[in-house]
Amino acid sequence: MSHDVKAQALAPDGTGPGGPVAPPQVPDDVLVLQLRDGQAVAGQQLVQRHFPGLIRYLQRLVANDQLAEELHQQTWTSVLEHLDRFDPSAGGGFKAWLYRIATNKANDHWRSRGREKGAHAGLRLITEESGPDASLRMESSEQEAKLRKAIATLPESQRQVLLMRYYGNMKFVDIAQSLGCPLNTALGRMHKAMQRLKELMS
Amino acid sequence: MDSLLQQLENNEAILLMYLADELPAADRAEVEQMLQNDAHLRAELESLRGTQAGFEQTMRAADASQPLPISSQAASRQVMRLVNHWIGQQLAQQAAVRPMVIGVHSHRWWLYPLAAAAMLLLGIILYSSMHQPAQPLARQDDLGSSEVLTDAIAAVHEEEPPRAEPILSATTPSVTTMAPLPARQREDLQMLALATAGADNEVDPFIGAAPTNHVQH
Repeated sequence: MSHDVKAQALAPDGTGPGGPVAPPQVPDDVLVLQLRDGQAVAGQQLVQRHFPGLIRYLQRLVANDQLAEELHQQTWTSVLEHLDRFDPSAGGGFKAWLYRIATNKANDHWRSRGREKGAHAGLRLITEESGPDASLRMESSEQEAKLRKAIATLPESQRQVLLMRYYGNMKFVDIAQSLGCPLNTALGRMHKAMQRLKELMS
Repeated sequence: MDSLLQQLENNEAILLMYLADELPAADRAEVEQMLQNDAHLRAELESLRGTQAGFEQTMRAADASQPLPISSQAASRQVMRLVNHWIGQQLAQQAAVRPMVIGVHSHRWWLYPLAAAAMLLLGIILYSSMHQPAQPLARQDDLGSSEVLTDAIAAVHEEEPPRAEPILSATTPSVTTMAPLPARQREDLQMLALATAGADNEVDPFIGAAPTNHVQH
């Protein structure tokens, strides 16, 4: 049995969606403590470290660039407001906490606007393309469009696990912690999402 | 047993954890043993691995073709404005709390020792005033004896009262009311006073300048 299965797992190889990510020099927890002490540089490091994965996660989650940008800001605002409540020993670390806040922000948005309306808007934006070469891109990336549509049609809970795993590069244990559900539930959602994607893209 | 594998409910969960390499070594070895013995499980694993690989490949392509909603620099600037604002608020809150804390501590620092010292000093003053030694009386005794001498001298020189009398009268009013001495004692005192005046013409600090002129013969 091959032992390189990790290389084939979702986002397992340390490369984030925004390209190769250098190994962190200072752990997140230490940066959080430094930020609590008023060191803005630590905050900047945290933001830059988690930006590529977090913004892609939100972009795929809400399927709306403007809303993703807005939620990104709201997420960090909430992080700062509750920074004193962050407990490094609670499990999952800062990243799990960050993605949990981001997910809650998205959920809050959907609740406030109405789930049906948001879903329709998401589907519309998924199929829309902007820019002069939109039609060309549509033809050349039919598979990508299928994937986006498939992701958008997933139940919210399944989509969160799938995207958190891929963009957050998080362990399933941490995803479960982040979403506040049992490990088996998170794994079940992931498996259903994978099966659904397989059906929609085949 | 604390095996993670036994906590997983079904094969799908086990295979996902196996693919994610999140199983402990012992559990991982057990899964590999299961895979060797179960062809259906092997097929399921390969299917899952293929779906996952296809998903990742398509996601990478989708990400490459779709720009980020905002650039890293712009997002960093946005969030850093929030961070700097937050740090400013934190500092302002700390600055607002610090003087109150220092004020409370400074009161304790100043007032308690100061109050203790004040109470101690007050006690000493009260004690010393209540148990003050009879210093003026002792001197009065001295004055009394001097007065006796002065009185004796005055008896010798009846035409002129001692110059120190006003001072004595002022300080010891009872001097003027002293009973006159018997004649024999007065003679003895006269002799004693003359002897004293002749031997010592110094100024008595209690009765002023010694009436030296009156004892010259």
